[in-house]
Amino acid sequence: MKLRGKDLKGKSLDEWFKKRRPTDFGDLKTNYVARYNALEDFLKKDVHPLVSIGAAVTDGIFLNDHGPAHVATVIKRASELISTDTCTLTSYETYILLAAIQLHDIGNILGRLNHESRLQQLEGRLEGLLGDDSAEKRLVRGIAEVHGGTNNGDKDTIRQLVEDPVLNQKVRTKFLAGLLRFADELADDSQRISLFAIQNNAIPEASKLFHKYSASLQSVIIDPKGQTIDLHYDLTRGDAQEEFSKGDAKLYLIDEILHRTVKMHRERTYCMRFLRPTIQIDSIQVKVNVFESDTSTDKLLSIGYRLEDQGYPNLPEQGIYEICPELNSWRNGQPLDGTRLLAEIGKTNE
Amino acid sequence: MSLQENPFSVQTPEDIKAAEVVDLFVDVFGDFYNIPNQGHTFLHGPRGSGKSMMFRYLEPDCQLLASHRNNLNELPFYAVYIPIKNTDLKLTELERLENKHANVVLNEHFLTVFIASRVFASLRDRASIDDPAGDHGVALAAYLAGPFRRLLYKAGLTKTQQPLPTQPLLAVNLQWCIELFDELCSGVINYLRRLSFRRTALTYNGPLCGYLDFLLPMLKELRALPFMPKGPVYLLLDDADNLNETQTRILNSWVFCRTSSDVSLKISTQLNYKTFRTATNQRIDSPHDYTEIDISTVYASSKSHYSARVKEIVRRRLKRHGTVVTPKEFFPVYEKQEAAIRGIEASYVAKWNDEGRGHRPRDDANRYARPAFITSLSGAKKGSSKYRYAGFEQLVYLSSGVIRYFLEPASRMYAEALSTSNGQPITHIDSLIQDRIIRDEAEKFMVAEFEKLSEEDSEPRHAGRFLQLRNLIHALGGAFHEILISDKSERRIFSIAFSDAPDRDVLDVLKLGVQYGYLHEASIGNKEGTGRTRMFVLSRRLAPFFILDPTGFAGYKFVTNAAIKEAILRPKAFIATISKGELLEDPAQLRLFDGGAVSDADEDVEES
Repeated sequence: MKLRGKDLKGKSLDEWFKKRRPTDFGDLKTNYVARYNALEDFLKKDVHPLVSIGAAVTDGIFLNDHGPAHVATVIKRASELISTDTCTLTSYETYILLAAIQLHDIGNILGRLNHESRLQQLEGRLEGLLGDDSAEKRLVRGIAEVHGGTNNGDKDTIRQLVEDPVLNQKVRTKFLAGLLRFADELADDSQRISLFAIQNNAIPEASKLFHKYSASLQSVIIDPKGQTIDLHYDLTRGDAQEEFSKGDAKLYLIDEILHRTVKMHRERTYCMRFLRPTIQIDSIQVKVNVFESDTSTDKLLSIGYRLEDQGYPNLPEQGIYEICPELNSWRNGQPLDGTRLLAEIGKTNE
Repeated sequence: MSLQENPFSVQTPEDIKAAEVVDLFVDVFGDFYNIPNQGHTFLHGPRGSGKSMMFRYLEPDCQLLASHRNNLNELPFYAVYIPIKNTDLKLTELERLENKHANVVLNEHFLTVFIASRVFASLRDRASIDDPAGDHGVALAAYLAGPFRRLLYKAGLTKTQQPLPTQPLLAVNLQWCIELFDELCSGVINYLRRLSFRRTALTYNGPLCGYLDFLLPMLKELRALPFMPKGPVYLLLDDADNLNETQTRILNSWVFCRTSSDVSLKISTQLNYKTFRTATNQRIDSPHDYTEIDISTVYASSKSHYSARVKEIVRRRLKRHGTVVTPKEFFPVYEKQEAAIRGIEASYVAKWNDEGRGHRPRDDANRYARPAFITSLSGAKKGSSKYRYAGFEQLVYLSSGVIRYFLEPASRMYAEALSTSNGQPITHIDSLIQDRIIRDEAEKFMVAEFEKLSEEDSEPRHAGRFLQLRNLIHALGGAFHEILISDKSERRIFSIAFSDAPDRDVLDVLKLGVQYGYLHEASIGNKEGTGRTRMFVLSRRLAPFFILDPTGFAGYKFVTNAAIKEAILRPKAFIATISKGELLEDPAQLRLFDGGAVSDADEDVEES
């Protein structure tokens, strides 16, 4: 059975999925809904609560929410992204996507650094809960892992995924990976913070900026028909004036917003490679309002900008050598240019 | 070596002992310098062109002997020879996965564990690791218990995992690794067999090992062991044409990863590599992803180079056999015939002032004397077979750049000479024997082998193409003979170049010819001088079949796609048209493209 995006009508993917019957999965004998429920239950109770603790213990940082609420937001964003007239997902693809969303952040239990690749190191029941087919498990993990990081030094992780039928089912691996990755990027809003921790000054200095950022992102509205994303940030004068630590640097919250929206723009550009033509998002519109205080209605300033592909592409600073690094050390030596070519031709006569 | 033993016998390189390899191997890496260097490399060449021997020579046992080193860790790289044979790779069984279940993932797993097994087999059989103090055994045991075990665990081997070996004995632990990987291979095969009885999906619950997540880190960690060379590991995949398309794409994905500083892939093909696309459909290309060498092209463009290599190979084989003569003495020319040709040469030199076509007196003599001699024999029709294909130089030309095509006939010649020698040592091969065997080889190549190939090749895209190829070869061979016995200014022709673009049908036939060694491909400046065009050279192995002169420089003719279509469909009509001087066009200025006589300089280094 196929889900048509336009039929979701504001509901989320997992709501639709959980109503599926075993016969909706073609000739597959597994009860995928039961399996997903068991997986979700296990992660919610036994794993997600450990994610932030794991990061804190290993890296000494206080992560914003990577638990069930964040998973729910990612599912919500993915649901909004597919709510178009043209997008369809099979029941089986929906299982793969939802399972991957459930798993995508639990590598944090083993530390924030390169957390995506730590997924496979989790032991115990998880292995059994994902079923007994190795290729299917690898597929779910593969989609979950490429939501960030690098593969063999290459940031273009989704491209390296293989489109391979699994259990006689065709699965659009790259499409699902692009969907998860972009949905995750859009799931960094104010629901991701611990208000209690912020209000009680319990956030360590090193993690404060990330929490402030999430707290300031008030809404993310996906408009598939308008092919745009609207981001709405609210800051107070105090937030805007405070300097935060980020690594060795000090910066203001607006700097972080500018930085993160550019990152979001890059993620959009990247993920769209794998989502087009089914899903098309062309721009990100950003609005930042600065208020006197949380309790004040006085808007001091309003900033607006739009991130989209526009204009003629810039020439990279290093020219061709930036686009094609192999030419920068041509034949294991100096960059290729006329002099180099002549020198190499000269050697052929020796 | 016993005199009864044949000095020219051709063995499978993997069965030859290191000492013999080092003794026989002629260092051709000056011609193919990318092969022993770091980096992914494709080595293309027809069967018998020496690819496997090059790979065998790179293996550690040969490298240690050749470099007079005792310790493995002193070598600059560690090369693992991995012959790809249809039977080992269970291609038929793996086809069951296509469009069903995890085709790419399971094929990659199978290929990975297949190669991993060969890596440890190489350490057992080819590495000559001396471990009197047991330190290396301890290091290997620590590797197995540490990073190796973690990788297996990540690949999902928890359920079926064998207990790790308990003793730090190098040989025992290497054997354990081989058996482990062989068992993983069996696991896939068992799954595939169960799959054959099912229409619906069947789950696979075994481990899955890939290149980036298993083989590459496994080899990286292995390199760090104290007895291993510090340079990269070379995986020498021989005859990669035998991989199925999915496996070929997987291998290309590995090439695409550019991991050559840790693992360099050296891939040999017999010119029938299925695709250069990866599992994710990207193209890999030379030179940015890999370097590429085509043995035929290298040797076709430098016959003198090739001749020197063959001379050295023959010299080494004769020396090892205990026969102290030069290759030229061992394969003598038919002196009476050569004297007659020298007479014709002298007459060309004498009349050059009045009738000469070339720039110098010797030009006409070199260009026309032998064709004129062949023409004089063919006047009496039946007599044309009296031309003797004999003499070391001529045999080198007739092997068409493939060493096996020198050694196999030479081996037959030796056997025949031995059968009539009454137990006396063989010091030379009579020109009559040389001629008889080489003609027989040409006929077998054109008739029996053609039939065998067309029966054995089951690729659908080749259906009907063999008949067309046979027609084309007959047409070209026949046409080149007509030109040889004509009074044209250039009579020694072996090649055609296109004056327009060949269409898909024509190209398919030509490519098939290249694949099976009847033709080889090159390129040459086009007729207009505005770029280059494809050129196809007829194998000189066929010269005796069509009565052509294989020696020296040869020219080429421009043809149109339509003319080659005619040759494919109506070879006799094509030859008849050629006789009238039509269809083939001369290049604007004759270029000497694919030949070169053995130079005088070569003579000097013949025997030391």
